[in-house]
Amino acid sequence: MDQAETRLRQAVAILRITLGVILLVTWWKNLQDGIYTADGIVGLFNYLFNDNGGGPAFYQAIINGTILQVPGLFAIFQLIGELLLGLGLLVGLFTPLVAVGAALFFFNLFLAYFGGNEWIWTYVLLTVSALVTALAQSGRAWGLDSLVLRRLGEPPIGPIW
Amino acid sequence: MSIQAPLWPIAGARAIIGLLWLFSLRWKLPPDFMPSEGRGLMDWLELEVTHAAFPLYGTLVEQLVIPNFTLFAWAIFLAELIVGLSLLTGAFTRFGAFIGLGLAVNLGIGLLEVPGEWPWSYAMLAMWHGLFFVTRAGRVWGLDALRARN
Repeated sequence: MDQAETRLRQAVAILRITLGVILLVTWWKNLQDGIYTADGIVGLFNYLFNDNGGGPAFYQAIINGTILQVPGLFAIFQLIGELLLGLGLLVGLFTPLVAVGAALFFFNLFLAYFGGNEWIWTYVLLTVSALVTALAQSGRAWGLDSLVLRRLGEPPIGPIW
Repeated sequence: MSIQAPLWPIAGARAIIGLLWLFSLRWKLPPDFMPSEGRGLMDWLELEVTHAAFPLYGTLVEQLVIPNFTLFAWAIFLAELIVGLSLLTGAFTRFGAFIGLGLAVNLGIGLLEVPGEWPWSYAMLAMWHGLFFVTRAGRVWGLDALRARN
C-alpha cells in the first residue's frame, strides 16, 4: 500500500469514526429525550410532518401505513438499530454492511426533512459520507475489519469487511 | 489481500459538495445579497452576533463585518462560488478544498449557538474539505487529472 493509498484509507476512517460518534451521541440524546418509545416516535413524526413541514406525500403515506401502525415495536427496532450502526462504524466492524445500513437510515432522514425548515444538505452530507465509508471499505484502516481481513482473508461473498 | 481503496466515491462526494456550495449561493446573490423570501446573508450575520458562541467572534462580526457588509458579502459570495466550481469540476481541488475548509470552520464557529443549527453539519463539511485536500480529490473525474496529464 503506497503512501497516498494509506492516506486515503485513513482519511475515510476518520470520516467513519466521526459518523459513529454522531450516531452514538444522537442515540444517547434521543434515549434521554424518550424518543425510543411509542409516544416518542409518534411525537417525532408529528413534529417532522406538521411542525417542520417536511416529508413528501408518498413518504408520509408509507410512514403512516407502516411505522405509525406499530410505533412501540419500531421504537425498539430504532433503539437497537441506531446503537448497532453507531458502534459498528466507530469500531469499523463489517463496515460496508453497517455503512450501507447507515446510508439508508440517513436517506430516510433526508426524505423525512425534505421540504421542511431544516438545512436539507445536512442529510445529503450524512448519506454521502456513509456511502463513501461503505465503498471505501474503511474499516480496513483503524478498524476491526483489518483484523478480520488478516485472519480470514477476503470475504467469500461480496464486500462484508 | 486487496487493499486498494477507490478514489471515485470521494470524487463523487467532491462534486456533490461542490453543488452544495453553489446551491447555497441562492440566498446571497448580489447586488443586495438577499433572497426573494427567507433569510439573507445580513440576517445570518445578525444571528451570529446575537447568538455568538465566542464573544470575540460576535464582536468581530458586529464591528467589522456588518459595517462593511457589501465588501464582505462580495468576498463571501466569490469565495463560495470559487469553492463550488472548484469542487464540482475538480479543478485546483486542493486550493478549493483549503478555502472551503476555512469557510466551513468559519460557519461552524459562527453558527455554533444559533438556535436550530446542528454543529455536526459544519464539522462534517470541514472534515470533507480536509479529506479532499489530503487525497487530492481532483485526480479522478476532475480537471486536475487533465492538467496532470498535460
